[in-house]
Amino acid sequence: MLELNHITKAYGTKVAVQDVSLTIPQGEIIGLFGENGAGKTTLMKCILNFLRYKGDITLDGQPIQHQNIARLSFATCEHSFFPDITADAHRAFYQAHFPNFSAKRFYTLMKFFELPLHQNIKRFSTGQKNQFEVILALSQGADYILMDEPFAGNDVFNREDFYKVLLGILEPHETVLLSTHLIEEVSDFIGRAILIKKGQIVGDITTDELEEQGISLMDYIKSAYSYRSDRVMEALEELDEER
Amino acid sequence: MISFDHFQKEDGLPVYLQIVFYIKRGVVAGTIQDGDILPSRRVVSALLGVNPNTVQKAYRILEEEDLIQSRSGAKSCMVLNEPVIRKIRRELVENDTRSIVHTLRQMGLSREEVHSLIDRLWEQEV
Amino acid sequence: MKIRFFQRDWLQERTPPGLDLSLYCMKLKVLLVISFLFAQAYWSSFVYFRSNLFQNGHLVPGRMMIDFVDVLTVQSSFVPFFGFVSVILAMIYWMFAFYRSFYNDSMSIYTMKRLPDRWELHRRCLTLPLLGIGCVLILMVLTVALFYQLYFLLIPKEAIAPHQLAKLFGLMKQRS
Repeated sequence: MLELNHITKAYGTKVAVQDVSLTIPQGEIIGLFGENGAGKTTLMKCILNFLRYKGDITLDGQPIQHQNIARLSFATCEHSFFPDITADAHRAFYQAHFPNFSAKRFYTLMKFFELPLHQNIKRFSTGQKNQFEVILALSQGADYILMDEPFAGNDVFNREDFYKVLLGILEPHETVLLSTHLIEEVSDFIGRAILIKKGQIVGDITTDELEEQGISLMDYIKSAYSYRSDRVMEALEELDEER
Repeated sequence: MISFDHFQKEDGLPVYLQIVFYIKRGVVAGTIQDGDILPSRRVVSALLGVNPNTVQKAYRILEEEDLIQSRSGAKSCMVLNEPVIRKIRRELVENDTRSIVHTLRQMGLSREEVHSLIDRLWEQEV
Repeated sequence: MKIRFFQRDWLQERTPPGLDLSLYCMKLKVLLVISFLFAQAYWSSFVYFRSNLFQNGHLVPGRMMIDFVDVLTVQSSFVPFFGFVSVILAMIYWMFAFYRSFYNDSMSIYTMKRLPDRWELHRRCLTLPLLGIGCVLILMVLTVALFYQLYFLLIPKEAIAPHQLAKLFGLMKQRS
């Protein structure tokens, strides 16, 4: 169980994350939605202990430290692999540092995505780099897999394949926290949606609850953001009047 | 093993219900028979690109209606016989017909107009 | 040779992943050679002060050679040490460059910060520069020792002031 208690992170006067409290049990696939700068990335970096923050974050009751950090993995659009070594060299490095690393899962995914094992990562295309980044996060043997917009730049077929493979290989105890803009695409795939706006949680609902209430994820998000679809009509009518 | 190759995800209906209907239509069409094995929850969720809980919900409904039998450790299989198949056929027909009736009423047709429409179209089929 | 390969792997695992170890070892060797050559500036002071001991090819009685430590330091304006100090500065620059390499091209720093082994990052950034500093310090000591031996070889016994070693270590305040 990953618990966030009243997390606040400010950069000087700008507050990136404001009093966020969340409980994330194992086994969920969660979509984290929010506009650019909403605080999604900052929140993940707090969980991973990259940043200092107010409040506390615990994993099964323990703070996140070097003893249990291996239970969290991370895939980011900024990429966190080593560009100057090969994929297989990454496998050796991860194997040496993460006791639960699964070489089998690693090789299976590399094969499925047809990525070369013996070429330096810097020579991969952007799409391949994204795929490799996610493969590392999935093979680490973590219980909580945090992914920060991992598919920026991948074409839709790539992404579709990816969601399907993910669903096929995830064990019941593995948790995925995926921050993304691609709401429509992931709406069937996630079990829970968390919405962040200006550093605060403005929505937290499971897909079961959405089904019971009979609303789609997109509609829920629109209402949480007070999205006004009539703004477009208003603007066009104004332009028309001017003519 | 029951195939999901022809499953098409649609808007409007929750996915778990779509899965239930897919199985039931297969039963009525005869492509799904007694004893046929259902793929595991995880495989179906990967094939369809949907959350495993969605598939779990669908399987649970089928189990509650005594259409499938799940054994721990092994895959679930279909439990069908003639009366059950007929019941499902009736249920699906009634469901589809209910939507049509609803649509036709919304369009303002009277009962007599619907009857003569059906007669006319029935003749055309022959 | 088996031993050499073992050391290569050992060192490769203590540098940023993907670092061209051969290149950096070569750079270090070149830096060490250049610093040694720089130290030879000592000889211009040495030769000058030695020549002052002689007149018309003969040693002038009573004239004493400047203390070794002075020739090496003050009288040479510390120039012989510039090379060694530069190497130390270069090694400190390498430390910064190695840490920064985890922010170039991709943020592999995120991976390093997530490792259960909290020293891995520092091990990979500090080992080679510290070894380099060790090498240059050893080179410096050996060079000074070499110059010291040559001082005694090249200066007539009677012109050498006593307690050169103690003076070298700054144990005696007296300067000739």
